[in-house]
Amino acid sequence: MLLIFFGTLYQAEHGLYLAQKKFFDSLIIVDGFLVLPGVVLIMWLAFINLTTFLIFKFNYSWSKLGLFISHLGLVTLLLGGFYTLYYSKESLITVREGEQTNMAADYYKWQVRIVEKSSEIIIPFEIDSKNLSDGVKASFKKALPTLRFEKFYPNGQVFETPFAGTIAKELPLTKDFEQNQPLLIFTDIQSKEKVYLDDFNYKVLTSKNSDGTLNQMILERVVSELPISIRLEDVRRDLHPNTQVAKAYASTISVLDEGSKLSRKVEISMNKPFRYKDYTFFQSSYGIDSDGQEFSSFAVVKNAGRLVPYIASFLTTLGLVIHFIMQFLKFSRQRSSGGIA
Amino acid sequence: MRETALKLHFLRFYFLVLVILLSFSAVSAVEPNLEKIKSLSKPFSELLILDQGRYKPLDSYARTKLLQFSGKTSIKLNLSENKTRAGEFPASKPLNKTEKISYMEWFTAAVFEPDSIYSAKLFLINNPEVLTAINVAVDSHRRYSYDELRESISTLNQLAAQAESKPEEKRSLVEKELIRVSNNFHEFTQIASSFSLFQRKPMLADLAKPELLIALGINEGGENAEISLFNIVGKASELEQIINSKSALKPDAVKLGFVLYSWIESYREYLNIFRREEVTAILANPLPKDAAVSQEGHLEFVNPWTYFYEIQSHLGRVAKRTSSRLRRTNDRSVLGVHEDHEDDENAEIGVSLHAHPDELKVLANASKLDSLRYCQKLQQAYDTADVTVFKESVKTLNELNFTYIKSLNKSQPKLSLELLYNRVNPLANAQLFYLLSLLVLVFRSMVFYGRKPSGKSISFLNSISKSFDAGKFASAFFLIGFGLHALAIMLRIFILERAPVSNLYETFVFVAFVTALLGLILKFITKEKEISTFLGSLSAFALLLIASKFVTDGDSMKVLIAVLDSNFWLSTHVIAEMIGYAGVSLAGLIGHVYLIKYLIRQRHLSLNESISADDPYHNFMVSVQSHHTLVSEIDLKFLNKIILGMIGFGLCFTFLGTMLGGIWADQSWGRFWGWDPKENGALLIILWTAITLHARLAGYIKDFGVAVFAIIGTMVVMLSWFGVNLLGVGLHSYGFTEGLVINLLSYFFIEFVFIFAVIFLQRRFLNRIKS
Repeated sequence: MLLIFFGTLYQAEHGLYLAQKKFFDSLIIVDGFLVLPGVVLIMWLAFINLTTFLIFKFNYSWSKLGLFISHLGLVTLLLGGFYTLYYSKESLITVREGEQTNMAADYYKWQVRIVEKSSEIIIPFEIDSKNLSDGVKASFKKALPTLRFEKFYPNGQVFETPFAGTIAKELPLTKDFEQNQPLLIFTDIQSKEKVYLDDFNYKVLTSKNSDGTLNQMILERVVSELPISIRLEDVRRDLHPNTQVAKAYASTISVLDEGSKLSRKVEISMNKPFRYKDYTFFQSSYGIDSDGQEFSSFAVVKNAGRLVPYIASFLTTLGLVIHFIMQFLKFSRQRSSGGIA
Repeated sequence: MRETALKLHFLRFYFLVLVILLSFSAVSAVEPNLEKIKSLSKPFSELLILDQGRYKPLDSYARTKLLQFSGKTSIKLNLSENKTRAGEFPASKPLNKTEKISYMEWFTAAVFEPDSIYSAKLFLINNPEVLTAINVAVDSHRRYSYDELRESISTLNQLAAQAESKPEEKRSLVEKELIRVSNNFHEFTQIASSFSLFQRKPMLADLAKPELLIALGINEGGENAEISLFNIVGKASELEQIINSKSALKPDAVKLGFVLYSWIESYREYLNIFRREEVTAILANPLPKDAAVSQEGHLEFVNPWTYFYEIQSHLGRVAKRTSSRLRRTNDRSVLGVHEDHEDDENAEIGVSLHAHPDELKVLANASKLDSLRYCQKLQQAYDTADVTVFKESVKTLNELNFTYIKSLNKSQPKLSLELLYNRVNPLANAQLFYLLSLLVLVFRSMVFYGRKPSGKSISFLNSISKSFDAGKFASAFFLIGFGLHALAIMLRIFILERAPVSNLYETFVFVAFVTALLGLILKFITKEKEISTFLGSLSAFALLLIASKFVTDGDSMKVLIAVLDSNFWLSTHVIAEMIGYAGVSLAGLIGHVYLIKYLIRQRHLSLNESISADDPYHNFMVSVQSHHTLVSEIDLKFLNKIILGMIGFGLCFTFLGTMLGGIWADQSWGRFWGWDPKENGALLIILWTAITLHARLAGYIKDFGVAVFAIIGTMVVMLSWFGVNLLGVGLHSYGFTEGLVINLLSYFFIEFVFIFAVIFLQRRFLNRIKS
């Protein structure tokens, strides 16, 4: 309980993502001298405790039917939680109106992709560490021999200034962790000039190898391929009359199954996602880019165990209600028969 | 360079015109005609408007605005004594120097005769530093009139703009207050000028010579009639003709045209300065489908001058598209300025009209719009104090709006229901009845205080309270309160067409209702009628009191943001959650009663010496409960069962609600659980209630401990209820509220003091029993 309480306080300071990583998804929490069990560890303990209790110690009788069902539901709920924790996958897909894609970007994971003549090197890294690991730095050195890696900003921006030229500035990490824009700074060994690599406007950096061939370097979110392609036909935003308060967002998409030629139209709106096998697509955001083109973002969640919590909550609630009604009946029977209460 | 100079020149002009138009009769301050205002405010309150995305009666708007400006629903007017007119007041009746008028009366005066209430103390300014900053003398009532602030408005604007340029979390209290006051001032200015189009201005009468009016074809009201801008609007093309002719009327026509266009332009500037979306449709007008502006998809209703603003911006676009050539050759905008002195007569004022032909057409059409014509009729009926015409105009305007809304296939606004809600004010009255019920019970036990009911001496008071069955009265009051409470919730459901739990205010109202309902159920299924009434009244009253703290924030019937706009989930998830809150809160309340009864019993068991606790709350509860002088163990057992029942009930519903929330989250965000603060809060409640039940089962706590745990359970509920919102992160923080931290902390402090005092006393009594 205390963990949840302090974890929640921590969220106010550092945003949802970091708090979740530190308090809720980890086995142990280390903060200075303090070592605490993480929420996941407690959940595992609770799971083991509950299961053994139900198997070995539970006093099976009809009067405890409700209790049994509800505890069974809790075990199922925890199981579903573990499955989701270890196997579900979230990503984001952004499409402009009239365009088509089957690639979904990860929320938090980034990579540097270096394309040589025929081969491709991918250097993944995470931005919630202040410094890049030595391994990542070493692979930079190997892949980009003409550039020397200088600095890494988890959230940075490059400015053009009239007098000082181009400068890079580090920004504090945002609370919405997926909004951080990492920035890599290199120095060209020959010209001694600074070279910046960010994710702005599909920027591509080139570096010349010693044999004269060119490498292309791209910083991007880790992308994964979906089994279906999505084409954004139309996106719209309804406002409450005479205000800027949104009433609803909705997108019409065409879904193209892999292998088939036929597409079908689907509408996705708030509270009305689109499901495909283990994938679920949700309306996430809406916007207009610098070209005036409307775009729509969908959160894509892959979770095969998404029905487990439904069943579990149904079981637990059912058990609780059965138990409560039985207790209540017992109570009123005692009252009416002039018992002790 | 020249262009900038031109722009500045314009701006100065607009400002000048605006000031002249708004404050023209300020020299001869008009006294409000109270009788007229009173008779017209009721029909005016029934006018349908669109505000904050919702159709509502003007009544609701006026109420919200006066609350927003002054923090009250009525305002005092200062009347000078010599202003009495014969026949209006009987001579014998002494004249009050101040007169209190309702929000609707204030609003009526503000719209139709703004000059008359400029001296009313309207704007609440809490921070004296604001007043020092803008050079206004501090008043002990903390409220200041429009007249007082007008002198310093430019300073206020500059300071507010400066404060606004800072990020929100870095603004000081004074800066926040500056922004608030400045915004309120401008909103009031908007309200006060919403009918200026239809008001007859003496200045216009000077300009509009009879011959000119005849030439324009305006013959309304004969020779000495004062005309309003609206009269001239429809004659814009005739005016243009005269200006372009060699007629002798030309100089007058130019002046009149200048005033007309400056009026529109000045509001355009005004609206450009203040963000567009903040402009409220003070007077809703459906735009006809063929009107040039209805292309703006989201703009459905406007007030008269925003309507002209839209015309202007539309024409701006037309002009851009069709004729940049026209602009080059003429070097003029809509309100053209001659720099080249080509026309001697015009050069005198440097202004001429060169309106686009489209614009003249739109203006002429506008003057024929039914909605605007009836607005003019409203103003005229006000001026002549004609109640019948006024009522009819309101009715016609509403009919126009209703037909328009119908054509949009939207559900009809529940105008009369909302008016009923505003007039009956059921929640405030329910609160009052709960309080009455409590007072009766408290008074009754005060009478018995220190007296044993089994004692032989029958006092006078005792005999009174026997013939006058206080318990019956208390439960009658409780039932009336409950009925009103239910009515309020029903009305809100019908008016808003959604589950009554969509903001912090509504959740408190709803949970108060559920606790009262639980009290009622207890009353029927148990023998403890009085204690059930007491619990129901106390919890409902306390929660409504908290709710009423939120209502001053403004409109409690705001529209929902997109993610919450789902009736099914809102009505299942939130309601289940709230019923759970109600159960756990009530358990905590009964926990208090249990502990106090327990202590009383312990005290009697230990010694017959009376020990008074330092806690005044304790004393109060003792007095409430002391008529059960000797608390039996059966009583305590009963209370304990109820506490456990309520905790179990709360656990069931909180769990159900949280899981439904998980399912909703899975449906709309793609995850069942995301460790969001509100989710954590709900989890805390579930865990705490589960811990309580398990600890009792395992024998860690007994009945006494259950009561203490129940009280802590209520604290956990409060923490999750708004403590989490105070953090301001996460997906549930829609109802973010400031300034609650201190209240919440002091609540926790008091509860802890209470618990420690109880435990301390319990130890003492137990020791005494042992020895």
